[in-house]
Amino acid sequence: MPLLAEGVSYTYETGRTSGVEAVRDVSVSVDVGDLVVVAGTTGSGKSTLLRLMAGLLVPGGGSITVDGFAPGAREARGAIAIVFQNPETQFFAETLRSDVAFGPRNLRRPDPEGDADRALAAVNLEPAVYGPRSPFGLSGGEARRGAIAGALAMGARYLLLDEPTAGLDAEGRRAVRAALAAERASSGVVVVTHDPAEFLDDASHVIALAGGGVAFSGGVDALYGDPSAYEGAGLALPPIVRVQLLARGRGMSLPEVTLDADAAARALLAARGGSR
Amino acid sequence: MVVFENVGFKYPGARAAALEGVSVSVRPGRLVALLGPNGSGKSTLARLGNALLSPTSGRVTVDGMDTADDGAIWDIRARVGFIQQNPENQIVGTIAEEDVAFGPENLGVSPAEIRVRVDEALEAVGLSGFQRREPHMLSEGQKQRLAIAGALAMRPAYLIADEPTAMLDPVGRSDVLKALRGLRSQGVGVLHVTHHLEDVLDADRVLVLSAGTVVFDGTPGGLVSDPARAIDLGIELPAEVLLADALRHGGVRVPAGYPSAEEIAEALCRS
Repeated sequence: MPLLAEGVSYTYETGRTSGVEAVRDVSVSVDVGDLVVVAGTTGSGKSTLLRLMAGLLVPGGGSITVDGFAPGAREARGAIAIVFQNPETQFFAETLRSDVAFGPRNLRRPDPEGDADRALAAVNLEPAVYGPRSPFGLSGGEARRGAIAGALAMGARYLLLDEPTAGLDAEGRRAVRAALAAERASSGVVVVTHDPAEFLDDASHVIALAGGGVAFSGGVDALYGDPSAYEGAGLALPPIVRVQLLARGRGMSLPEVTLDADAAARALLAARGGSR
Repeated sequence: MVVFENVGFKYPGARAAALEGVSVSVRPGRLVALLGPNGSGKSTLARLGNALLSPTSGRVTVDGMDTADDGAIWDIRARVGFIQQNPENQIVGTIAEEDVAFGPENLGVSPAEIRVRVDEALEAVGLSGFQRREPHMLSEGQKQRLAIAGALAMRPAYLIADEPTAMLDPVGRSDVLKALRGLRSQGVGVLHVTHHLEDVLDADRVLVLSAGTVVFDGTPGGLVSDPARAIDLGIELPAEVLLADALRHGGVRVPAGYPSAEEIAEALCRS
């Protein structure tokens, strides 16, 4: 049974966005093994949707269920972990291990340090090396993965992340992407981002939000088949994808579209040879 | 001119130096890009440029004034504007024009002159008409442009921008890049620190830092035309540049440099 948002809407009642319907009739389903990408420009409602799915906000319309239960139900406790933007700014402990173990310790798990080490290994931070280090001395990519480990250590079935790669360099982004791909073995992952390009190869489902509503919802193949609604939401397909779509449009036969430059070059050269 | 001469910097208590032997200068009207992975020393260099830090070896001068000279710090900061990654951290006013006026007010500029500068600065970043807007009602890209306007109202000769687009969506990013280009054409010298080579393809000069030292000093074209070298240097080239390179090796006549998706597709079908 999935984490399910059905036709949810949300209007902020107080503060600066009072009266603005931030999310309007949005449906999302996430199962273990899924990587759902929620894309949209600033103000499209994507962070609000993430908070609704995490049970931090209560929808004004529609419903959220966690494996069939209401988000507040006892059965749903601990099912969802959320990673906010720039989570590494929330480090507080002297060592990374004790920082990551904070969540499981609060949940009174029997072995919080063991949970922490397993989570660190999952994000490819060798526990023996990184566990004793200060979280404040890590590089950007290491710190981000350490903070994600803090969410993983809670053992949630659903992992929701807000802009998990923002501000990271190429190596840091690759490492985060690999950690999330590995995490899918045991979790359903939702990534909210204004820069979804790097997740398109991995995504099981893509949702584009514009002005709080769904502009596009479908698989990557459907997205590449007709990107007009996605582009209409202020989002752009990566140029390497557009090259392949343009080539297809000109009659080249490409079995699949990929973000990998070498694979794309091989396929394009083969298709070009074949069309002569 | 902002001149870094053989500059080194070591944070107190750190084992390794954050920067070593870095030399570069930023002239008025020029755009110098500083690239490198996280932890390579980019932000440290940026902070040395407007006397937020003083070098532990070598020296940094701004139009001849040494940043290590405490007496010159305020003159230096009036000449070198600084904006950083997170727009939220650099806005102080309750409405846009108040925020932009904060710098010149502190310099003791007359109210009439401040009025002129605020309007000019907002216009320069494409925020004319936003004078009375509350900063929290702006998009992230608009906030970052407001921060640039705040720096501009000081009438700086130079602007150091430390990853100004890192937290912005594609629209915000392109607007901020446009604003920075506008400054260059008005004669401001810009030092743009970034992870993204795509952001600085029109830079006059590109420096790549790795572990605190300069490992590349040249033009953006020098990196784009030699993908293997760029990757060695830890610079991520956009996938379409790598694709174009691989297609060229496969005999497709893709235009050199930084071709668009349309140009690559065109070349594929033509040759």
